[in-house]
Amino acid sequence: MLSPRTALRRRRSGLSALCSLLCLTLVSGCVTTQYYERERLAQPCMQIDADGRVVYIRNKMEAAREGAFGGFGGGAAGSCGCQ
Amino acid sequence: MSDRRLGLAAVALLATALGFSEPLHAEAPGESRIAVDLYYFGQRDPGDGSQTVEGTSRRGGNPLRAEGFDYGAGGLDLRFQVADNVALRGNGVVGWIKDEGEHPIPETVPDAVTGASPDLLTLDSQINVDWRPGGKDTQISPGFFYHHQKGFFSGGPNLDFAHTFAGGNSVVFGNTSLRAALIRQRRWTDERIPEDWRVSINALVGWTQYWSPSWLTTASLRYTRQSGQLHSRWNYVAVFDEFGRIALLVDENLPRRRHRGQLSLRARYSWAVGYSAGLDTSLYVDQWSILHTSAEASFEMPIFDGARLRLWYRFSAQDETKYFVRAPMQLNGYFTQDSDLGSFASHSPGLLVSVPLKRDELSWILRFSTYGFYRTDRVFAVGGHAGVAATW
Repeated sequence: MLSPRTALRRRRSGLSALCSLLCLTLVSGCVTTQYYERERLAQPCMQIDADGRVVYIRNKMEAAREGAFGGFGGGAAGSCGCQ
Repeated sequence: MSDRRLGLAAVALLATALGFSEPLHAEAPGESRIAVDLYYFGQRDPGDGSQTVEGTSRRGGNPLRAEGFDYGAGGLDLRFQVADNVALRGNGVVGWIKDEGEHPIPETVPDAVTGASPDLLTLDSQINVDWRPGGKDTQISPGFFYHHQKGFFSGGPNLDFAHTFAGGNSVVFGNTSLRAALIRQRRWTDERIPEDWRVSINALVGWTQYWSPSWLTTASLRYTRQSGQLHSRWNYVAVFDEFGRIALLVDENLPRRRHRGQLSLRARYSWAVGYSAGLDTSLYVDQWSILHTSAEASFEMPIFDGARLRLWYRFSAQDETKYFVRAPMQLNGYFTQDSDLGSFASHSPGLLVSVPLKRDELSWILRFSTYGFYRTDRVFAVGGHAGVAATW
């Protein structure tokens, strides 16, 4: 059983690691990919979300059945009877 | 189905001709589309199989309430490119929820009744305008959302924003929305009680970065502030006596304010045209001290003649709210036994198959998906979706 202080320290280190990754992403605007190099990036398989309809129903199934938002970004809280 | 419900269904179907909702940057500029989809999922809460003192099997969360239900829905998506830099989007989904409705009340609880389980008709609809002022790099999308179900009416404006820069290598995007809800729920005893309200303010900012011809990442931060009635009139808490028997049922009580935040980091990699793998992670915390982390791995590949298969597996773990009470003998302050606010880990696999049928001026694509989850509090669900879309 972790002490509350240890648990808090672990949560903080996890949060710091995620924030560092976020900062790394945000400062990366100077990286350049040329138009002719984007064939793979332009494929449907590189969409972050598989499909809008699947996102919709997964939000219904997961976000509405958890205390959290469930998914990974989109959507709005308070829009249905469940949340 | 009553005439009133049929009328509502007709209105909902009409609304589907106007509404829409989909992630902003998933849109292909300059493309019009119509899509029809059918959805189903069923959730069950069979309990732990044990026989308690009262002769019932303990459920996830509230020991008496089965959280099972069936959900079926039909949806219509429309997008019309009405000018070079303006498109109208609309979406509507009409759903039907049938509650499993098991709320056995032990004889040790005097004078308690639970109301009949509700069967609900629901409507989600949204309409948006995509506007690209002064060129193609910036898109602004104002819109409006409306949700309707028995005893719960919610609506409000949306504003989406996306700007592409650095030669197309970076996209900054955001969303803000307001939801105002009127709540006319009956109590779990089926007793009519005064109406209440809920206001939610949502904000999201994010960044997508193309790192190389193979890599992209997206980071986003989401914040929501909710106020008003945040507990459910359907939820009750079981209070135990000194012999471990359920002796009393009391209304759930939760604060009327909740600050919520979520950080998401998502990455996708392609090593060959048509093949990709992704890893999504998120960390959620809120004022009620719920901590929820999730990770999802996905893989996509071509299977035949332009058809694609995507597989995913999501794992998440939730630490319960500080107001969660498992087997209380007395209650003070705020308390809940809502299983969705409890502690659990969740395993959620799924797959999506997309099959293009024809590619000329009017392109058709069929989509099938199936998915499910299993939670360690023994609540589980399975579902599926089938749809067809045409673009031109």
